[in-house]
Amino acid sequence: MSLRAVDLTKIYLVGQGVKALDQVSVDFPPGSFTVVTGPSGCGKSTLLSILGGLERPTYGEVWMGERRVDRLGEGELARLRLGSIGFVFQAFHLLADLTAAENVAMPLRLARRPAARERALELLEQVGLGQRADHYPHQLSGGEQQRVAVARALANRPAVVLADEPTGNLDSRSGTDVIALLRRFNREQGQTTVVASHDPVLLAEPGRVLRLRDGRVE
Amino acid sequence: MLALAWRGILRDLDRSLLAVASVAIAAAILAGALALPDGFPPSAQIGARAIVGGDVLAMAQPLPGPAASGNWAWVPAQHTYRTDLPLFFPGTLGSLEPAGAPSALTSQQLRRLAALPGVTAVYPDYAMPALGPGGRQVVLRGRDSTLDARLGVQHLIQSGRPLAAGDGMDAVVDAAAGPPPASLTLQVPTLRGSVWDYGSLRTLHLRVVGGYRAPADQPAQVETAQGTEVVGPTGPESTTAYWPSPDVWIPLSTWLAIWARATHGAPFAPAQAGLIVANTLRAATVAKAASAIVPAAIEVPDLVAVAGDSFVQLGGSPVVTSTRAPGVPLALGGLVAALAIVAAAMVMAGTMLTLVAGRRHEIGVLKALGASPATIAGMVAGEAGGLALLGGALGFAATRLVVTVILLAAHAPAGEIVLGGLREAGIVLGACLVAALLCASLPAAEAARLPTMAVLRES
Repeated sequence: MSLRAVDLTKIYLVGQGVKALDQVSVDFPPGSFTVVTGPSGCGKSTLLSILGGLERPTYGEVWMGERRVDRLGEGELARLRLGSIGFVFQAFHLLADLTAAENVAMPLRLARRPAARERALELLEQVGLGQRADHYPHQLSGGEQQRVAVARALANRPAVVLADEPTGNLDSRSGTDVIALLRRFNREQGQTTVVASHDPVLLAEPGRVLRLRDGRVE
Repeated sequence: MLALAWRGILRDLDRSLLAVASVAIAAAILAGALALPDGFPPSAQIGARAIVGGDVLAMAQPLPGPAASGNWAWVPAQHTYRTDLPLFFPGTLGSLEPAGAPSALTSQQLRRLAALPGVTAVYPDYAMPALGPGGRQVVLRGRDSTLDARLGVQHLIQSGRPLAAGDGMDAVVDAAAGPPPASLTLQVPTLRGSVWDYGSLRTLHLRVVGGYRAPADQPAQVETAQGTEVVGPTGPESTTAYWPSPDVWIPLSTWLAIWARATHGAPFAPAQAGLIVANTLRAATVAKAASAIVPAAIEVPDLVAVAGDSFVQLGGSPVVTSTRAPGVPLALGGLVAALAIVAAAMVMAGTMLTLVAGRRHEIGVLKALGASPATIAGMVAGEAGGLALLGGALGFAATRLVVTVILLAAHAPAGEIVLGGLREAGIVLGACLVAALLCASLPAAEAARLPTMAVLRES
């Protein structure tokens, strides 16, 4: 599914106002793998959160396929995130009280999909954590936690995967593993994948690179 | 989601237990208040049993209800009237009495009633007619101060004191119309055969020591309702108007002496007697057993219920209409239960607000994953509801256990215990659930409104 931003502007009302994005227009073709990079504060995370419907733009439009995302209500946005978008965050954001399998199954349970645990175990196998399914997040390493987060993002077979600095909290080896996973799933399952990162390993990967500076596309 | 909620409860166990405990206490109080009618039916409050003279009324004649009103008839006569049924007394022109032969309880019946299991005393209705100031008819009742104390008559005393042992020519009078006089002069007719002769009156001078007021929903006025007669220009006329005759209470020993003089030593046979039972829970059982001995035995609450309707109809005019009101203990119990529920709900609201504050990250993650605001609100409300149901069940179970033991000890039917328990369980758990959900609505709404990205950035 294609993803498109038109003249996206985001102004945070802090003090005199901070313009995080300034008229950003960009297309993400279906099945593409795009790395959004730029210095800290350039608007990478803001762009991903708006693309994923976690925040609303101050101005501009967001389109997912033929559907305009920025005008959806809270309930519709939630359904869109649940069914069509998978998120991977820098801080993993796993639920501490749930096991790895339960974390991966959570989007399936929210969507009332059957056989949630079986699907979760299958995904954990795919990310190499089949033996760690019943471990809690605090029993896993950072790299393992991020792999669980990747599996969770893919649970509902989303059309779009948005990963915000997925290697930012990982050592280089774990980061490489996570990048490889994202590339593999993009290749095998064809999700439109957008990764915000300034990880040189990721930037060296084949694919499109979108550079942001001061909220604008370079 | 259930696993998440359960682990959230365990994570903040202290607060969760506080919420459960507060709801449990409220549920226990509510269950207790609901169980009050099991042991103390609203109509069997102290006032009613004191006026009636017991918890079960054993009668020589069935009380006429709406279905049996045809058993009663207005009997015109001149100056003297048949009335050995002392419930109703003659005026100058007629009397209200049952069709057919009037009757009285025999001494054998009274002995058998006293021997019934659960009956601790039989209080015969010592009553005879008299004329008060201005020729107004009153009912002169002999009261046993010992039995009066057991029936709680002191609760009816509005001024002065109830009758006490050693009182002689003393009286307690109806104070409903105003402060009682210091003294009272009555005239008592003479009984000749089965007829009260109002041509031969004896004068009594009584010292009034107290005034009583009957509860609005008790049947004393039914007992003393009577016809009034008017002498018109063309002769005697009867009316269908009825009003209560006030009772004058005098010590039983005094009453027996007056009876002996007014009747020239005729034996007294009461038309009715109150049965005082050891446990009001058993009143219905005792009434049923008493019905095998006398033509009519009525549990006091039933009697009051009958009085609440148009009790005796004659000429289309109801003798008595009254409205039953909940007794003070019930109203008080309900108030305490309501306050307890409100307090528990406030604790629940505070608990849920704290839980929401401690789960901002969790809620943010769930929203990012696709949980809708309704799902988030439902999760918080569901958790509050779960805690409320748990607390409600614990509190209800604790109280109901005690109530069940009491009911079983009072030989209450098992079916009634089970049905009553189910009914009360539904009310208690429903009240706990509704209160918890109402109070959880604020934290639930707050959780649903949490800004996803802001919350995730915090962590």
